[in-house]
Amino acid sequence: MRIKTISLFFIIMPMLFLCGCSDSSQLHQKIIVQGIGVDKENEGYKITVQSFDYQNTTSEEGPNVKVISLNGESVMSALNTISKRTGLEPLYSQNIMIVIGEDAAKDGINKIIDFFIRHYESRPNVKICIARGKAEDVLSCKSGENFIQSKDISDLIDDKSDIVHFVGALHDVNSQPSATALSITQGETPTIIEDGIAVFYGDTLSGFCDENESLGIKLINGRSKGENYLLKLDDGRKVTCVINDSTSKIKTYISDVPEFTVNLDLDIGIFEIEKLNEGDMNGKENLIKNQLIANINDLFRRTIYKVIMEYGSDIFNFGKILMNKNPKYFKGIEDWGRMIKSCRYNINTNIDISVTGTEVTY
Amino acid sequence: MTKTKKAVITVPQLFSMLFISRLIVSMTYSLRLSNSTSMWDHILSAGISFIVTFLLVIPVYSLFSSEKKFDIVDTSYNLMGKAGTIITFIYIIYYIFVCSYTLSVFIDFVSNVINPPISTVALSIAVILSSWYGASRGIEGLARTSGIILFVIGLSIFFIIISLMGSLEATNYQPLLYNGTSSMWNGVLYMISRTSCIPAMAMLIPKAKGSIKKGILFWNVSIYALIACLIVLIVGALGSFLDTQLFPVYTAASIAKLSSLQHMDALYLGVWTMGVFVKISLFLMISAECTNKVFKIKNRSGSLFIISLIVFILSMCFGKDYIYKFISNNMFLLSITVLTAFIIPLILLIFKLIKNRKEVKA
Repeated sequence: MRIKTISLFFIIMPMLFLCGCSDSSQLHQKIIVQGIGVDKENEGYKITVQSFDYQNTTSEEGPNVKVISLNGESVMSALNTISKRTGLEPLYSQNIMIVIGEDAAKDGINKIIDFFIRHYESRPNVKICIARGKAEDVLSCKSGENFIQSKDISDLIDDKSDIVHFVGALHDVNSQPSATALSITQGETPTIIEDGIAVFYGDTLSGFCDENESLGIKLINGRSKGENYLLKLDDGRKVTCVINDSTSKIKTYISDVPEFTVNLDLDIGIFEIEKLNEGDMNGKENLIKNQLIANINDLFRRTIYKVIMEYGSDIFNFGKILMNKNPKYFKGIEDWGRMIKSCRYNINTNIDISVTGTEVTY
Repeated sequence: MTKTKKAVITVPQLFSMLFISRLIVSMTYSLRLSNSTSMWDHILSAGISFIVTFLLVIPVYSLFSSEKKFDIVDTSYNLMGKAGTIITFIYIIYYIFVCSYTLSVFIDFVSNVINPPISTVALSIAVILSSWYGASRGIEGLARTSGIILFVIGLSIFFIIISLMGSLEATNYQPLLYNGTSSMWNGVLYMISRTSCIPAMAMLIPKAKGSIKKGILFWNVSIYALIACLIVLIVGALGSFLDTQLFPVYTAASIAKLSSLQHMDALYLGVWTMGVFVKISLFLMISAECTNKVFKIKNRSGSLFIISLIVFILSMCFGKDYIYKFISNNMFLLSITVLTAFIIPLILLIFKLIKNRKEVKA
């Protein structure tokens, strides 16, 4: 009976005094952060925050978006000024992307990334990308009257270009990080586009890979599903291919130097063949296949040259693969960053082609 | 001190409670607490700890499986007379310590990862009050509640495991013992030092009806299978990113997604909160029971209240950095766990064998 009385007391008392609605912030008193941009500026950083604007919501489609620029000596100190500037309380747990400006990326990611790992509201699956130019331009880019929203921009970013993979590679001594690069097209109505892949050495940006080299990176990583590839035949006709599925298995063995072989299996659909009426395509499927293999092999060589030989960056986890296969040998390597340039790289491409719109499948 | 007791719960109920109590230790699993550099090596630690746990449980099992009438307090008084008081006090201190340590780790987690501005005093009071209520309902009530909680926990863990399967990457598993054996041994230390369930068995086995041997076997197999599963998932999903995380199991849960269901960290939080409730209630209850036996108190609620108050005060003290570091030290935890789980029961077992031999001779 006594326990029941005490229990009842402890049930009723919190109802009276701990109702939890006296000091709570309402939605319009918060800044729901959607995207954070980091640019290097003088001795500090310029932070651009894209957030929902619940104070001036006029649209029926959803809340408006506003962009705020902040300055500080560090990311945290800049973000701390957000309340002073707006009188609103920031909420970072809804942030879906981080855009890092080119200069900030060249200056070193380790100087700015800690907030996004350490802060309790920051989520590990937040996407990360590098802006060609300034991050501020990406987050404040307008399509007509309205800002292009972070959720739309984040759709351009590769799923694996997130904090978990980026920071993991940054923290791993045997691999280097990479991230989707974004840029803004110039013209009457500027738009944001995926513009290759940013490659790092350590925590500093080494450079960018163009559209073709980025496809090469995705092919090697087995993550090129859904990508388009334009094949030009010897007779000048263009064939548009879509990669329906791709798998990549990297094998390694040691001869005089470590040798890596990428076994690439592609399921390619051909959706468009130029000037089909002018020539008979029947019997030319092997020609398309062989030319596609030759082009992909060439793309592989160019990609390896750019990423490995030029940037010296192991974004493909070759080091980890070698370490797993031959730990003793890998332990004896003093500097994998240097060694990677002297390794040999091969590719075996196997392609299945299907031509839609016909009954022919080969 | 030699009053016989009726078994009031079944063996599956007992080991459900102990499973939940051990489970929450696994959920706080981190490289920082285990003082290691490679979590993948802990897969070997789990195998070794599995065997060591079986060895550690032998004296407790031998002491109570044949004669279920007496718990550790009764047995120590029966075999050692007044010196049994010292042993009882050691167990009371140990059980109170486990309660306080569990609470301080929970507060450490909430105030670091979930919500740093939270009042740790209010949180501690809330947990202690609910656990005090749970303990006051007695072993039967707690066992029934644990059955329901175990079902919910099992479902949540299954859901988290399934949703993490798609995030596993083969390159994240580096060769075992690549950086030597220190991580593996530190993992063993960590796992064994947190096995507070064996000292709890010394009080609880006499209350359970059924095959203890099967219970221990099932409990140990399921615990270490779950730990091994967690290691595989965390390492595969997070890779080197887990080195940056204080609570990697929580981080892994927060990146888990299944179709449109995301942010499984809420499930993790629910699992841990329920687990903390069961563990603290259980240990409060057995420490109160020991106290009542020593001081011959008939009313359980008075001693339970005082012990709850002590646990609250200790958990506040354990929040201090230097104290937290000391009590989290693996060697310290190992020594007190081995003392209560193995050494004291072994001494009592030897005393018992000598006594039995004398009685046979007489």
